Amino acid sequence: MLVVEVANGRSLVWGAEAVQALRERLGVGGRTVGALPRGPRQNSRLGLPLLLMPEEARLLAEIGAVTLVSAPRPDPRQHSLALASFKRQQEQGFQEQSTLAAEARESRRQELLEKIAEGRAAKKQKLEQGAADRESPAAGESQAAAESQTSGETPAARTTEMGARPDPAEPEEAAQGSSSPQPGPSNGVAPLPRSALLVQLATARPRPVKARPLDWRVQSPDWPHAGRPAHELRYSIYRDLWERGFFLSAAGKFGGDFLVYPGPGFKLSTTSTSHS
Amino acid sequence: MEPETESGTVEVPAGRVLSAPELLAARSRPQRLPQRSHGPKDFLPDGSAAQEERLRRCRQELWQLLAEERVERLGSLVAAEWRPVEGFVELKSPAGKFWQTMGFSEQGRQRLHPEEALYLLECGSIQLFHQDLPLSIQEAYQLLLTGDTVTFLQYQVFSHLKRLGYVVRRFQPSSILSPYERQLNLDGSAQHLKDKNSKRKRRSSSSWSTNKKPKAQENPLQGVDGTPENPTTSNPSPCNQNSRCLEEDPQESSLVKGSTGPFRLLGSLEPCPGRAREGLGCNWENGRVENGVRRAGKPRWNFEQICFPNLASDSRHTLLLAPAPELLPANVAGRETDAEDWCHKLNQRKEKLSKQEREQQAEGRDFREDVNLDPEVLCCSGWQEYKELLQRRHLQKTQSRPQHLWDQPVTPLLSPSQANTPATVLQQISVLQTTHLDDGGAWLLEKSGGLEITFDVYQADAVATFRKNNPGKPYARMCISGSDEPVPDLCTLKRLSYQSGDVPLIFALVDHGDISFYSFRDFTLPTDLEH
Repeated sequence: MLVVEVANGRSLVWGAEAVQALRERLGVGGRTVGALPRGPRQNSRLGLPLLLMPEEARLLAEIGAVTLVSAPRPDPRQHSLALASFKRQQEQGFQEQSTLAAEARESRRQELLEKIAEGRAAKKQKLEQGAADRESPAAGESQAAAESQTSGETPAARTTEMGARPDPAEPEEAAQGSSSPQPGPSNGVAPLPRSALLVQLATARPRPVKARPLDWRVQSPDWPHAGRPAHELRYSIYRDLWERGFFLSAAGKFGGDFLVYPGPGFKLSTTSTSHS
Repeated sequence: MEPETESGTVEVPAGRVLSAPELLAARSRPQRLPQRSHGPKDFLPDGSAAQEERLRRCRQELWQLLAEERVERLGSLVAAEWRPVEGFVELKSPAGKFWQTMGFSEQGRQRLHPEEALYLLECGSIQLFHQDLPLSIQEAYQLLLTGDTVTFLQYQVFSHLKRLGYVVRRFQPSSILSPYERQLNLDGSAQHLKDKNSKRKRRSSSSWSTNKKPKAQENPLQGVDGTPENPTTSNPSPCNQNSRCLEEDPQESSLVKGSTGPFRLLGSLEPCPGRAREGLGCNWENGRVENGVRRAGKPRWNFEQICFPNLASDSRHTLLLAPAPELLPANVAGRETDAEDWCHKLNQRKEKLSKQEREQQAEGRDFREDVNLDPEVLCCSGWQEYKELLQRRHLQKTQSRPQHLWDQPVTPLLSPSQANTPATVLQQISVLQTTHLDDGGAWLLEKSGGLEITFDVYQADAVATFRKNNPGKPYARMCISGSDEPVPDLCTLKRLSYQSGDVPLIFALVDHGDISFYSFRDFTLPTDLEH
């Protein structure tokens, strides 16, 4: 059972899975009106929220696929709890991200170590060849000694890092790992700088909340459409066409009421707009 | 999935929250949008597997795109706090690149309007807090888009235009020229003054803005309500104080607070805008949140609302009350005066006309036909005879006209003397007059309510040179309406078009996410040239 919040006569769907269910399973389209996270500065593809026409929302409620609720007001009593849990999650996330970052850094270093070792070996070969020609074995030995020293250090550092890794925590809300550090000189576990923390700007409300169900048969401030003749007329047409299997969407750009498609994802060469 | 609890409420499930590995993965996802269509668009379902596959792939892509969450580095986010009471968003850390075209400064703090903050939140540039808790986009939509700040429709148009690259600011009614200024073509000279007077403190007023007002701070202007008063006695008092307003006054910050006391309005709830805007560079204690535009060197007075005492001889109000002390410079005491004896002293001397003026007056007198000097009129002994004389004269004039044309109930439109050229003929018989959309708009200005201009839109290529304090003339002004609202009537159109002046006015119509733009254009029908 999907839940859709309604405010001021407008129904917005904030979950991507819900949008998928509506479009694929129920044949109700709606329209995306928000910015797309991947490309927020273009208009050809928009993202969540999905705006449902009043007719679409009412149809979904009538067939029982969706519960319409009045958009819940933020509850001041829940606020302190939410704040505390947010702070906790942020700290946890910070720890997690630091560890993950350290791990990533470490694995990077390991990869590079091999490459470094290869490179050094090749270089050593060349030098030795050159040394053999020019008779300077001492330089080659000191180089080898230096290399063995550095390679000796890094495994030690690695073990300390492994020990410091805490258990992975449950999924949380805010601050979590960074993936940007470069493989620098090997130290201990360097704490992640606060500015490198990754933060999720949540699209939908990240915590569950209680809301009152909305009766679409009754007029209310959140649902002013009930009883209006224009709405009733549009709804009857929408319902009829939907039952016949068509896929409808808003037709404001073409001056009609609905655009009628044979199914989602199709385009009609001559748009049939229904005027009511 | 969510059962109803006993209290009859339904639990709304939480949105997706990313775990640490998911966040890391999100940073390494591709940044470019996939191509829109895979092959030509399908028109009809033909049951083929290829079409199925194409559609399925399209759909997969769409779900994947929609399900992505915004993940940003904390260091690249600007912290901002939503202030519900004041109706704006205050930045807690320094603004980024968006500051060039968005936001406003007030009391030394950087602030954003709710629509700007919401747009930046959707872009992933800011993190919006409310009572120390970061807001999700859903909560931000709910909290910021209430009726008295920006409506959902207005935000849709705003974000649509911003995504296209335009610079969109809130409508600045103070940049509208008053009818008088337009007559004088004052904007040309004001531009010149602006550059010179940027340092000088000049108080600027605004013609009254019926824009969205955030919930009341103590707006000292709105507190002054028109208490019903005897108009004759109170007439001089606001006027006198207003006339004092025209002087430059250093004590501007105290002005606002002091304005409640001796300030009386007549019957209108709109306070004198002379007091409305604080001067440049001083604190904005105004409840109305505007863009903080400094209008240097261009005082804006709404002369329709400033009334000056009428000391003329027709209706004399000569009792001038003492001006409010906070309006006067220091060490200057004002007192109340009775201007009666001063008025008596006016126009005492006989006006000495120069010779030229005397000749002009004489000529005028000669050309004026005095009816009483007409000999025929002198013969008339009463009104009846005079009227008969007039009728006789009229008949004589019309005798030359053919009776079958002119004595019928339906007469020709033109007499032969009037039909010199095709142009005059057309002029005479024209039913429609040339009219412009903003004709008569000047006297409609005081009507408010209904559709209002919401945004000023500036072109995208002006971004590099855009200065918030001096944005210049907008490219267009935007009025926003929903598709279920009635079409604006002619009165509204005239008023808005007049308000907009020489900047084109565009109406944005929003229908469930579809935005269409309409505008009215004046054009003239060609007329026949005189041969």
